[in-house]
Amino acid sequence: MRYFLFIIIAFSLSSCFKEELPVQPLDRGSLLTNQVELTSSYSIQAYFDLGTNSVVQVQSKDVWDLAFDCSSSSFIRQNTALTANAAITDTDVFEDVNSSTPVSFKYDHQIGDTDSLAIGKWFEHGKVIVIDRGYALNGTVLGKLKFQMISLENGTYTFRYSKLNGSDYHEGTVTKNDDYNHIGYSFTTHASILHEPKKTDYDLCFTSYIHIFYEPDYTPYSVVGVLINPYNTSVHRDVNDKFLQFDYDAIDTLSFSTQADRIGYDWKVVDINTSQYTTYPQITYIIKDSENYYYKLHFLDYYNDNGQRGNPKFEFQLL
Amino acid sequence: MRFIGLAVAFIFLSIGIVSNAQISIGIYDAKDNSPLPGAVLVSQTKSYVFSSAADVNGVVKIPQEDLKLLGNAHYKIYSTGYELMQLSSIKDGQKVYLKGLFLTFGEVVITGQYTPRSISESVHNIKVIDRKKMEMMGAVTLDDVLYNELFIRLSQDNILGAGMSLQGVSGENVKILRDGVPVIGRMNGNIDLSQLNLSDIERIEIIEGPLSVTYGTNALGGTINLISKKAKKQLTSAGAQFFTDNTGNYNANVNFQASVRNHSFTANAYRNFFDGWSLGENDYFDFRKQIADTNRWKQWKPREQYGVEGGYTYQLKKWSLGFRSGLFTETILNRGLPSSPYYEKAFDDKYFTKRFDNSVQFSYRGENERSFNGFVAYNQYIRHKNTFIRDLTTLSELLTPTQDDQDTTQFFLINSRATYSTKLNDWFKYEWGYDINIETASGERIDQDFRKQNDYATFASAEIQPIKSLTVRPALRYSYNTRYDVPLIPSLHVKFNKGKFDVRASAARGFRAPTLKELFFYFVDINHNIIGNRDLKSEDSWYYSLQGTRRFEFNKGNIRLTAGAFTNHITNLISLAQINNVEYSYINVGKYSARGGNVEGVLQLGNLENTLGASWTGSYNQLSEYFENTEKYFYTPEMRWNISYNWIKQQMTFSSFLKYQGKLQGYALQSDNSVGLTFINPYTTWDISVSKKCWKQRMTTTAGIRNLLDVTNVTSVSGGDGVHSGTSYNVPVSTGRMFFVSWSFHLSKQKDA
Repeated sequence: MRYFLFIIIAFSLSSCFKEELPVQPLDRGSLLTNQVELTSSYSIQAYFDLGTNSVVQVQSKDVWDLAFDCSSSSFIRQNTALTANAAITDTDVFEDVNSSTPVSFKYDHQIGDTDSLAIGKWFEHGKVIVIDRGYALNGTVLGKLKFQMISLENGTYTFRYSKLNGSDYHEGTVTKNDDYNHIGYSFTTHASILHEPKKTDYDLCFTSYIHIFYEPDYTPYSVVGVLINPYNTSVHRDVNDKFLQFDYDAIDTLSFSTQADRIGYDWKVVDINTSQYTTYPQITYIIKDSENYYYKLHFLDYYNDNGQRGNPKFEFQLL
Repeated sequence: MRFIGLAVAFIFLSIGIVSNAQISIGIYDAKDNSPLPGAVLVSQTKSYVFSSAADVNGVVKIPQEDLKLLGNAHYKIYSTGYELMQLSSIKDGQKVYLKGLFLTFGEVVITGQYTPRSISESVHNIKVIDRKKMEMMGAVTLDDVLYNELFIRLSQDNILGAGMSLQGVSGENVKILRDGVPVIGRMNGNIDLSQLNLSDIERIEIIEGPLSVTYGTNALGGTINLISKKAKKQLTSAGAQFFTDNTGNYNANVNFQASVRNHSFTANAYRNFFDGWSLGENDYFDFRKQIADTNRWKQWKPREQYGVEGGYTYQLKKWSLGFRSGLFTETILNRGLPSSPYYEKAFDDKYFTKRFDNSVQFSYRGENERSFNGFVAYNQYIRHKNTFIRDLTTLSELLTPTQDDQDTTQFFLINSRATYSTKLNDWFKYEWGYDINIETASGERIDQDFRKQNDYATFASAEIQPIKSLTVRPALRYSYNTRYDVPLIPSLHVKFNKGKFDVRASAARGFRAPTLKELFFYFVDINHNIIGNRDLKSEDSWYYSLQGTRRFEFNKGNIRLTAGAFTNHITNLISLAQINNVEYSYINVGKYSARGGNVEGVLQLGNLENTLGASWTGSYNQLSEYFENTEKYFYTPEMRWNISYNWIKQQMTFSSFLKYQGKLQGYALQSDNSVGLTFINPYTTWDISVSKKCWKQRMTTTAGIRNLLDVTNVTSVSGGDGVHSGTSYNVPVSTGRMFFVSWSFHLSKQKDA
């Protein structure tokens, strides 16, 4: 009986909070390098996924004109890769707008904020909008048209558009799809288009876009750079040449921005006299992707092996 | 740790016992001749009172000098669950056989009484949970046993612990006492019932309805008094209990008591350990280190409790003076889920609670039922919460820099209460008393970090018996509080008895003081703007109840039937409300009421005891004042069916405890200002157990299954409108079906005179 008592007393008192064994750190792999080919005329938009180290979608930048938001905010963006811009008229009567209607054009701002879109809060103002489609790949003017939203019901945008003189009238529809950030629409094909990969399938969009400079004067200017996926992606920018030092432990002290052009175009600079581009590998971007993985990335080159510009080369690693 | 266990076992088995000689009376169960340990023999003359409890063999010893002092006085012998016996004389070696009564009928209670008396004599409606029921249920902490009671509904928070409601009134309005001293440490208004260990508790007394005249604030909905085990006269004993189950509970407890001449000592130490549990987990007896992956998170958090309690009493013929002290610590470890996608870091919370309770008690019993009882207590409650970020690849951890992640909450209470009562004549007794509470609280979100409130109260009551069958007890309490206005608290209790029929009626006012948090809360940051309100009044209630009991006796047993109804109206309810565009505060707004009824029958037939009861509790729907189409009250039914059978020949007891907890309904305001139906689905808990005594009754083994129906979570739905389904989520009830076993050892020796 005494032995029995010894056993259960010792047993009762020997239980404790379970100690833990460490987990194996996730294999970060080695530094990876890739190069995206935008062509020297910047005619390409390329969507890149860091997790798979691959371009997941590539297309000519002129396949779409408008991008309709698939979230509840329902904004409409323009394709500033074509230098598209728009003006909100004073009237909501579609027929009243023509080439002599006084208008003031505006570009979507590069930061991607919904307060800074040219078409604005269409669901509040309801006005007719004059759209300048920008330039085709060959440099010709795509022309202007007038555009007006008719409705947004059950996730479907319905709208009308025609040339300013009323000819070439169309009514179009675009239906939201929660898998995507945006669904595109082309005034060339008069049809909707999946111009972006699914929102969880990419991190970076290599493209030309309009950057508005305020110094010395207000100047919308087409630049070539990188816009981030607006879905749960954010970036910290560091200019102190610490690419090799950054590791996972550093993340907690960093501040991350969801601004679309946080990577932007200025990781390179062009010499106006020689037209030669120089990249700044000392600028490091810490990117948190939509799955909460962290990467460090910096740019190595803007030229391919043949010396052709428009081919950003970069190095990155999972943290 | 293993060596500590061995040392404790050695001490436990090596206790030496001392003895003395005197006249002995044996007290036994009339039904099975089993001894009745703890049975009490009382005798008194005008100038002398003698009382002594029976030892484990049912023997009471009376010193010769006491016999001389008692002269020709009569002797009263009572024991829990047995009829009172009166003897005109006694002799050495006499055997007394007590006839079994209904459970909870003949028990002696003290809560709200002038002097200890049987339940049947009390004007209050008192329920008693005795030691035997606690053991048969495998109960370790208070929540383990309360869930089988009608009108009590438990709620489980995996961090804040077990809370409760009583007769539809939330736990902040239920006063919890340990030997009459308030238990402090209300986090979000509730005492964590799983911090109240039962290893040193002899019985639990539950009084439904306000006892605010005597016990002050928080006793608006009811009072639960935990009564500690007392050292038995001239007895030295030691005991140990061990408990384990298949969800990871490992509990151990050792206790000791000794009584030498006028001095008695009790000591109790325990350790309760729970290694955490999540649905589907089955790693019993697995003490190996665990890989720090997603399995580290537990729905029911691991916790470790230690407790040491000790008491000393110096007993003179009329006076007694005692000291009691208890230290309790608890550590809860909330290991966080590793954060995706790397699963290399996690936020871990550690909650450390310390309770340190001390009291000095004194009592005097003189002629004419004159008695003077009182205590001075100092209670301390400290709770630290720390959040760490843990690197799961190296197991290193750092305190997080966020200020809100680290918190310390402290409560201190100095409490003194004393009563003087006496009998003026055969039909009039009265009691007068005072109650002083000096309470301080501090915490990260208490304005100016540290706040204090003092409460000074005096109360008086009378027990008038104009005719033998009628007892009327009016009472009144007046308080002065340094922070808020306390209402005058009256109460009236009436008991009518005719033969085997009792009726009790009560009308009582209750109140709940605004807590220091409600008065001085300060939480302002970018997301919050909540400020306490220093002008709060106390919550105020009026409670009315009526209860009737009828007993039937027949040859081999008896039946007791009880039926009752109550209503409780609370006004000046303290609620958190938006007081302007940006600021929230606590305000006295609205009203709440609860009402209900119950019927219960207890059948005792030979060695079989069968309890079947049902209750209905109606909770007031405050939104009915604004929305005409909603019901004013929602009723929640409860039912319980307990059976126990005592197989005397084999010294075995079989028990079954079943409780049905009905659907809890209500209305809630939706974000679009419409009302939606909310409810928690019904569930049934069923426990079964068997116990066997062996080794000359020194060892009792109890084995059983708790939560036989394997209820883990129940579905709660909020926001439905009766046609459309709302949002549903799970409410935790239990860790599922538990197979438990406990061993209890007891060694004792009577000291010879």
